[in-house]
Amino acid sequence: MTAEVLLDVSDLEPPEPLVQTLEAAEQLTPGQYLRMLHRRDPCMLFGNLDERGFSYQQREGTSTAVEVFIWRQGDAEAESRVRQVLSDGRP
Amino acid sequence: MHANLSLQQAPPFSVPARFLVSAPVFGLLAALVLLWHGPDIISSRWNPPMLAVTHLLTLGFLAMSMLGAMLQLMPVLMGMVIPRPVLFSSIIHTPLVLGSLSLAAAWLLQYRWLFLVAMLLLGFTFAVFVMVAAERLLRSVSRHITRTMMLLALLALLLTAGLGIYLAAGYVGETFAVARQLTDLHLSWGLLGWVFMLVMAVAYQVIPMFQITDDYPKWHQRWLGWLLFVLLLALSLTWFYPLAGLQALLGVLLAACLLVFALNTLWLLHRRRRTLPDTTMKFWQLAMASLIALVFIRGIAMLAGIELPALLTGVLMIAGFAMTAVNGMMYKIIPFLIWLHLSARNKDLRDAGRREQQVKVPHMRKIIPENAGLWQFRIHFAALVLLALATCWPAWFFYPAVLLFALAQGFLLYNLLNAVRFYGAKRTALQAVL
Ligand code: HEM
Repeated sequence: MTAEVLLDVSDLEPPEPLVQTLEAAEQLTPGQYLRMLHRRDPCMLFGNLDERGFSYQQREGTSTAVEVFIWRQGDAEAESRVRQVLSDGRP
Repeated sequence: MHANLSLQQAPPFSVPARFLVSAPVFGLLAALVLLWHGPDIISSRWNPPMLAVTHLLTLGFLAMSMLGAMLQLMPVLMGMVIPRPVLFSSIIHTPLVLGSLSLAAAWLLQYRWLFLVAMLLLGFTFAVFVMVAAERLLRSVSRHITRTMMLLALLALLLTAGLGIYLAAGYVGETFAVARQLTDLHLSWGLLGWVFMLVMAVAYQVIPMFQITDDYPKWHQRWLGWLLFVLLLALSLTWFYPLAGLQALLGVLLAACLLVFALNTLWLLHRRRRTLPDTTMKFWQLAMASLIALVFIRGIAMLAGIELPALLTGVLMIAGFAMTAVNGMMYKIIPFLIWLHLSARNKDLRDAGRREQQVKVPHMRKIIPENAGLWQFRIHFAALVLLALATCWPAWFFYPAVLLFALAQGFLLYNLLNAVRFYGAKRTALQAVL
């Protein structure tokens, strides 16, 4: 089992990016985080993640314009992995 | 800055829906008036029944759908909340319907007092809408150019309505003649400052979002709207200081704005990332093709010194560009809203631990079947070509053009009503369990 779940929604029409991201987030197991790739700032995503108890961090992407990292609030292991990726520089 | 919306910010479905569904009803009314009066109606711009048709389209179809779309898009794209949305939309929708009808009826029946009624109702509608929407926009945290351009478009709407009301006053009494020299100013602010500006503002957001294209270039987004606005201001000044050379130059620059927007949009659509067939995209392409045709036809006529049929430009701008773009947008806005509201209800059910009672929300593309939209597009396209031909050869093309136009509007109404009925049925099912 890998710690990173990669989801590229950059070619999908609304509301698919939102739907698929929320679905993928719900399926995260402890220690896992979701790395979502998108062509633009996501619409309506963050409010919905807040409501469902997820944390997130957005940054400029490499292959796509935007990347969002998503993990369960309180999942320290997943969070530290995200922090590591974010501080490591690319990718 | 994120357009960070939670479902609660979106107004109830009935708020935008009543505006969007009303629009094709006015399109049908316009067609009826044309049929009633026959080909002679398009002999002159100043024919009162023709002015009635023009305003059934610019107020009844365009202003109607554009205000409705704004009520929906401002919360979704810019995170602004409109207080008491149902009440507010009734306060706008009802006088807009009645005002548009009375203005058209005033021209058709030649009742002077009806002009007065129309002036009051429409003046009220636009003053209230612009005040509330502008206040909300000014307070919005969004720094997207769409916000600035919506503000400019609202200002243009206010000017258009003000000039329109002043012009209409000329029809009320004997005492002062219709201020004809202001008509061109009224229609320039209306069609370019209000309609074109708002379509641009919305396209900057919805084309990359729904058609899966790149963003419009930064320079384009930053400058084109302002340039358009400044050009219109300058054009207005030439009414006080009429300099023929300057007027011609401004005309060329305005045409360049239309052309840049149209070509850039076509280019983005051409290079879109996903190539699934999409009806809304066809509407966008047709709208842009109309703009390009308009600029070229006027350019050639000017260079060759040809007098164009009086209504050709109007057909290309109003039916060809504006109604086409709005029609295409409706096929995204309505299904998206239905999807959004049904999902929100489902979420309530799930949060209440009643997962098994959720209704199945269909894929957005299934809410208005792709084929129904496509056929409506084809009929609209054919109607548009015939309408353009009818302005040149009315004896040949008038009736087929108007009949097809009526069919296209009827089909649009049918498609929208089907979607609304679908939502109604699902919502009833949900209400039964909640
Ligand atoms: C308060 C609302 C409005 C009123 C009271 C109004 C009134 C008028 C009047 C009285 C005329 C005829 C002027 C004349 O006989 O010389 C006119 C022309 C025109 N108006 Fe409006 N108008 C309104 C809104 C609009 C809007 C919002 C648009 C466009 C988006 C528009 C587009 C036009 C056009 C294109 C013409 C010229 C028609 C032609 O030359 O064939 N009007 N308007």
